[in-house]
Amino acid sequence: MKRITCILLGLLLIASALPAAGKIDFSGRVKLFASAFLADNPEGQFFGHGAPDFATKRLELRLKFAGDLSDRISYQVRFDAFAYPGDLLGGNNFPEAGVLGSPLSSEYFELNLYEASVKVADFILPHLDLTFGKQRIHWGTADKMNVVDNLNPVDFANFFTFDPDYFAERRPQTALNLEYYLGDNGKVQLVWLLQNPLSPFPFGYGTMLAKLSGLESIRVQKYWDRGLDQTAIGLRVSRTIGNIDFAFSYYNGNSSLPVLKDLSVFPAAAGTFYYPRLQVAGFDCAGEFLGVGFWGEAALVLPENVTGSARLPLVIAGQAGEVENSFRLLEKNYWKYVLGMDYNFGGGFYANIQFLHGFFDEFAFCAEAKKYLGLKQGSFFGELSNYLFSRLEFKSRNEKLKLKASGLLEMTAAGTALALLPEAELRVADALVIQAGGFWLVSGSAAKTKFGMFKKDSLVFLGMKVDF
Amino acid sequence: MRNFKKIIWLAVPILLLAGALPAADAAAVLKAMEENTNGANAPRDMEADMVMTIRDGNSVRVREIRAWTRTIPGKDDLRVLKFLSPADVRDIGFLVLDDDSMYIYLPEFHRTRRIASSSRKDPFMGSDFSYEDMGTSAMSRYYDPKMLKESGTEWQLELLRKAGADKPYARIVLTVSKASTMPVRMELFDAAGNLAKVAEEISQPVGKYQVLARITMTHVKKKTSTVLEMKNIKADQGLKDEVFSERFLKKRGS
Repeated sequence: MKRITCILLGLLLIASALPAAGKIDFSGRVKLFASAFLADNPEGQFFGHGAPDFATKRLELRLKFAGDLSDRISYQVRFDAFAYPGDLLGGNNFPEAGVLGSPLSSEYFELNLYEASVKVADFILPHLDLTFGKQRIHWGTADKMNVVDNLNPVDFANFFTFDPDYFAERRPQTALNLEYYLGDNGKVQLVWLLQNPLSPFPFGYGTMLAKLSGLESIRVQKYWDRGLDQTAIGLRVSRTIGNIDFAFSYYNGNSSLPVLKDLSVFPAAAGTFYYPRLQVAGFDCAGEFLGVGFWGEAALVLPENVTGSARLPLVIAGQAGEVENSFRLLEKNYWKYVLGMDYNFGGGFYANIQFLHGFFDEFAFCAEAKKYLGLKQGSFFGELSNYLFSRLEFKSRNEKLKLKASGLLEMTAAGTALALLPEAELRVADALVIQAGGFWLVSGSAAKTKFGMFKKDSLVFLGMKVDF
Repeated sequence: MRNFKKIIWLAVPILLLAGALPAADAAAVLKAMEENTNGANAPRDMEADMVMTIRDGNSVRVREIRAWTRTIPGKDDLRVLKFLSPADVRDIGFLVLDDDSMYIYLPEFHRTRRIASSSRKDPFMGSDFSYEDMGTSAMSRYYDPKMLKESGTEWQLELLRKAGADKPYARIVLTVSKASTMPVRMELFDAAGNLAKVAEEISQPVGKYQVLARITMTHVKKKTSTVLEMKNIKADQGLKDEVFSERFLKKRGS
């Protein structure tokens, strides 16, 4: 708490001391978000719960500072703070105050540096911009399902909250980002990540995954933080020709999501997960034809040659032992792609549809890896599958009311899962919005599909937010 | 029709105005007006602060916008709009390169996204202007003019949509001031022939130009209206090409 107080005090001091450096734009958001499960699922694969147990309950405060230090240099900093109302009892303790009566121990609070970056325009050369610091880098043209974007890891922690402001969004990373504008909307972009991009998972995910996989323990093999050669880079060249935006890209770095690499069943079932390095050659485009917007992304993934292993029990002549099978884990190369289109029908109606081959956490495995590690379609970190995403929207003419009906169809060789995500958004006043919606798994089997695992985890949510 | 729509700012040497088109035919009047709105007599470029006031019953919402425009005679104008307030739309930006190339910048995700032209008919940020209305192109490219009547101070033209023209209004009744050769009123009719919207426009001198400084767009059926007022108008500043680019759209402040 002391640290957080110091940070906030420091921010205020900086803010008050900086008028000479130019005007500081201060903005922010206060948001209350709560969701509740609609059914009992005490033995659920994904977080056991009753109904109507809260799924998520949090108060969010965003504080953003931005300003110009000169004509060419600007900065922006965003802090996200989260409080969890009701999280009073932790462990076996009473909700005791912290030192000097601080309520931290009984009123849980987190502060996160979401973004902090400085942008230098015309850096060294005219038309060359440098942005350094923690930043969100836009990479690709698809609607959230960007298969070419390996720089900004998907926020899986919030993926499962189904908070529409975070759903399938990506986390900013600390990077050096050079953008050279070629005129006429052409651009060459070079990004160097100073950290390995890693997707965050929700609390308890490891335990859940072990349970799902029948493992007693999970180990994560880290290789990062070794040196410069273990960082990640991206290069993207884009250009508009006619009314179509084209881009070619290249990524060399780690996968932001792990893959099961080693499995042993003796003396207890244990799995080792690994974040393989990848090279990804990407192509993306966006344009329109006869008023229909379209976009596409294709990513040719060339993973490093990772050797997987499975140590299985073996009994020979009454003697218990084990045998280790080693094999190439991932295919030498494989494709992920997404194709989408949207159309505005007028009267406030809008439709958007995307076909995706290869969800964020999916890889193409060699036959032996599938055989020994049980990797298949329809499981977390499993084999590439196909998905259809659709969204219908209605927006009232004054934009006070928005209704959205989103659908997700997962298609594996074994079966399908269909999920609906309805949402309503009411703008009560300027900058004050109420959101309500839910996640409802209509059909699907946990044994055959990834999203089928959420069959008893349907939920509804309510959010209220004000921007200032 | 677009001229008015657009918030736009086109100007005319006042000297040209009066008496230049005495008993003119409709095409000549329309051409003269377009010379002032987005032709040779219009500012080459313009920068302005805009206040958009949206009235819906007792509800009044205000949006502040900064706008940059470049006039290219014979072609669609280039335009950049950046929202300054309220907080939930602050820093959202629009880039219009032509009728088929519009982009929106979403600052929360630092993302620029192409907008399909099918969205042009949608209300612009909840106002009575559509994206199409906020665009910029000469009406004579899409409409055939006919003189309806002429008074001592105004011409009234009827504009009928040309076959195959991709425009939302089938018919427009346009009133042009003889004093300024600038539009003062437009009645916009839908495909069914119903009066959909009415735009009332007020021009003001900016340097050697006449510029549309206030447009009131009334939605006849919904009984709502939006007033777009321009302030701090600066003309002919020599805006660079890079103003009308993704780079500028993403630039903070400006």
